[in-house]
Amino acid sequence: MAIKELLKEELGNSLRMERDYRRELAKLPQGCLVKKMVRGRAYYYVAVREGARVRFRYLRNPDEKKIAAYSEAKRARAQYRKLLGDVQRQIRFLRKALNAKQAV
Amino acid sequence: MQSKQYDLCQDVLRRLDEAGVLRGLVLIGSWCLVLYREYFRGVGDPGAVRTRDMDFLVPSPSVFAHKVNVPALLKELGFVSGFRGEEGAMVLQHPELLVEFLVPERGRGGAGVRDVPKLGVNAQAMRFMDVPLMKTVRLRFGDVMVNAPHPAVFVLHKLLVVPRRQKAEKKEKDFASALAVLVLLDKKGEMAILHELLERFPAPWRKSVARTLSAHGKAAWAAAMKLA
Repeated sequence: MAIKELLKEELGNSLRMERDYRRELAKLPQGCLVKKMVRGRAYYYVAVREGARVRFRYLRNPDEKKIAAYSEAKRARAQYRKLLGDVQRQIRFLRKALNAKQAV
Repeated sequence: MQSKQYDLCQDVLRRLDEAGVLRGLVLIGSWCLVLYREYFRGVGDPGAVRTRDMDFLVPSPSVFAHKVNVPALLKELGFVSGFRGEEGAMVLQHPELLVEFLVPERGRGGAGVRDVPKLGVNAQAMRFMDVPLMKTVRLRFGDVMVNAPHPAVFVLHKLLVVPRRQKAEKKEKDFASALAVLVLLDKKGEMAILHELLERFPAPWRKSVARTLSAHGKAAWAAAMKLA
């Protein structure tokens, strides 16, 4: 079946993509930078989820570069998670199509 | 309404254009059919059976004035780098598009992967990739001008690679797109361009094109191309 071969190729592409999005997500710095104002002074914490809890780790005097890096990581994480979801939908669709009984 | 895939394709082209590298690249493959809609406006529609693959041909020697990190450029659009095949050809991946770079193979055994340091990518070397460079046209894709093989070159290149395709479905797809463009070239009265290009082909290539047309029951087109 001609179409089946194309679907298999597309499935292979999507599986590779899923692996690569997961790899990129793992590379991003963990946690989200939180700024708290106490008596007019800014204090920075990295919020990290650990199971059911969210832990706040104090970050001493982060420079502009570090703040920007966390902000960029937050943007990239949201984007990659959305795209990873899209790829996983494609994988489910392709697997279903490949396993479907052939129409007469 | 334009599709998400079309919009993303336009974003990719716009970014490459703004970075100053698009002028040195030639868009090949099924996305050319989208460009040919403009070329054949008023004549007909070449159809658009597009895949996720968006292939760019890097002419050799390349003509880029400065270094651009293409993977970083497309990362902002959500592309991630991956590698395919045993040789590790780089592919910039997005659920809607897979961007790859190709270069013409030089000499026997020259297949494989070549680094393109000016773009920060590697490119797969493939046979017959000099053919799309024989005659190129600049066509509009949204608000960007893109280099593409002349439709006559597109037809000849597809007819040359059809017998070398391993998978039957790819053979069918390549032949169907070549025939669709060939019909429009004839309608537009541009068969002379095809004849002129064929004269520059080595004899075995001309024979291969004629054989492919005959094998698909289109020997009349071989005659129209002065191959019979």
